[in-house]
Amino acid sequence: MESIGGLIYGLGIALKPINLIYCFLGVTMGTLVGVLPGLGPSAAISLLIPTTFHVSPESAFIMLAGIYYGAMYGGSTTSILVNIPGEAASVVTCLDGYQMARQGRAGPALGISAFGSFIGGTLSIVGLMVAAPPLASIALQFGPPEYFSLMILGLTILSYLSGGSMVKSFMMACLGILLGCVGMDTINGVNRFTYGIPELIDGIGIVPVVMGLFGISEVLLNVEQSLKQEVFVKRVKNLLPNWRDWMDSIGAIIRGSFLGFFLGVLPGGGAIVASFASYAVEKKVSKHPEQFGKGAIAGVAGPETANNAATGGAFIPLFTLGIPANAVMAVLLGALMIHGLRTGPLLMKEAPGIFWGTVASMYVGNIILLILNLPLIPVWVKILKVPYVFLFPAILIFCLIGAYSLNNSIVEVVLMVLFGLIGYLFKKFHYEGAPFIMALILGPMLEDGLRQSLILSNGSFGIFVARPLSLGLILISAFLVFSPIFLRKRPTAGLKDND
Amino acid sequence: MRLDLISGFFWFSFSILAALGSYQLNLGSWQKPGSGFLPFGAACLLGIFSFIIFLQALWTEKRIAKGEAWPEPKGWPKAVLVLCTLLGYALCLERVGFIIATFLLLCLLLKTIEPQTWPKTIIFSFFGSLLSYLIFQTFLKAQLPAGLLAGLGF
Repeated sequence: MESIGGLIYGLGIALKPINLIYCFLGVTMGTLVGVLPGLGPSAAISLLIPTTFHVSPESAFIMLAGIYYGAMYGGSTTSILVNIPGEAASVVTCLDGYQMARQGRAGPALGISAFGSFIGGTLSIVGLMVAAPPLASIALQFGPPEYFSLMILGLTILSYLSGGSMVKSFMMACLGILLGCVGMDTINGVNRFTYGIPELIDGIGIVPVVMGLFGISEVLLNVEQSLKQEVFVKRVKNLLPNWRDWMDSIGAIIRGSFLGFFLGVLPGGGAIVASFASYAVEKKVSKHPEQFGKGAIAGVAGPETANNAATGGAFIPLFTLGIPANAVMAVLLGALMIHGLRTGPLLMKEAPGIFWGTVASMYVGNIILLILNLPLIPVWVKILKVPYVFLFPAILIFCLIGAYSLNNSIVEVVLMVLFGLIGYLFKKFHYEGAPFIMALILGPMLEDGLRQSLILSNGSFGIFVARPLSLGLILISAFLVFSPIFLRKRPTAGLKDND
Repeated sequence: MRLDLISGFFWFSFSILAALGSYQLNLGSWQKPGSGFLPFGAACLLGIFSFIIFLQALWTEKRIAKGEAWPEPKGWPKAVLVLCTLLGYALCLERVGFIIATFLLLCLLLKTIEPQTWPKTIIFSFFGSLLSYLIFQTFLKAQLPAGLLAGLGF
């Protein structure tokens, strides 16, 4: 009943004309960001945060959240029509989506990804609405040891689910924690690794790092390969999937919804992991696994549903614990703080309009996206037909302005370029950027949790196993770390390489 | 696995430097951890993991005489050029201003990565820099540096 009452209250906020406009703007920009390769939702949200300073926190958050889930819808269009993922979470859609387009079935591929996205997105909002309030009550019992253990679990899950070497993922997590320590130590007031640069006293900003690591490095790789875009535009017709398509996809959509939601909730999970996991599951349960990679519609429906379902789930740790589950949530956490809101379990009590307004706007936004997405495909196709040589300078300009606008400082721009180079080298040397980013985000919270716990226990690490909740989280982490010794193979190991 | 040999060695060296830097920050005690406590721990773990990667690569290298080749240097110059251009942009942005710096950046990228004709380059760069200024400065209220055009009201 509490959820229904909250939803009605939220609809009152989301259906205000001004908020409807912000929701529309958010999802449309999100779709555009999803369509454009090289510009992700984190970069777009960062770029637009300064424009929300003059509006109410509810309107600001409705628009920024819209960019996130809108991008998940848009990413599939580029994957299917050009074989280039518009967004990292749509990488796996290229495998079967592009093959369908080559066979003249781009329409059903785009159609099923839009319907799957809508179903997954809507179900995950129901999950968010039902699960978040009780979880926030439980989260009130969390102390520093529980927070520390939860963050260790998040980093372990991300390393476990990463496609490449687990040791390399752990290395990236350690590097992220190390760089997360840059700046003023909040307990002792000591400056660490700032080397006299005042901009580093507040730590290394997440936004320039994310833009560099995912935006700039992607552009560098694409430029290097002399990207040739071949848009399958003449054959985009019959967008509505037929009965057979629905029968082949419905199972994938349902499984993708649940898998995406649960992987979205886990810190370190998120849309990218959800889409890869869904593809792996669909290939495994299919009666015709040999068709995957050759245009199987379930290979499009599952991952596209899962990446949208993950968006709803990802809001749960943010709203209940104040912990961002991924880089986009970290940027949104920053937006909440800029608007003077205290994140954590008390957010729902202190600012119910933010939580319920966002939840209700997500229902509205998903409907807008479903209505908009299919008719707008010709527009996105026109944008995609712009040669990459003109597209990449535009993406670079967006990133440069976004980084500069953060503090009107060149240091942020230089940092972004530097992390662009680092991201480029990571990809060349087969290191994953995701564990690094997550550790950079969680590092300061992890340090607070660790140091406060040790002070509380007078230096005893026993505090982490003496409390049941913390013990449970530590045990799960330990299981994940040591399971590759007992299991022959991790579920996602080598997935990216093979596919 | 030659790549892992190089990266393993690099990260191992980096971890030693980071551990030394953290040690100088004061590690504190178990009861009262200091500012260098966590970075020191993270640096040590990074050192251990990078050593494992290095050893794994060394072992594979010995077993397989022909190691993984260095990536094809075919497209590198383009990526390096884009990086240098971006760095140059960052360094001159505040001095020359957003419009001029962006115009020059676009010209350079369009003429070097996949060379376009001069008229195409000039038109795209001119409208690109002006349009982005209009969107971000005028509509989105970003504060972009005016630089050399400050006197013209930009």
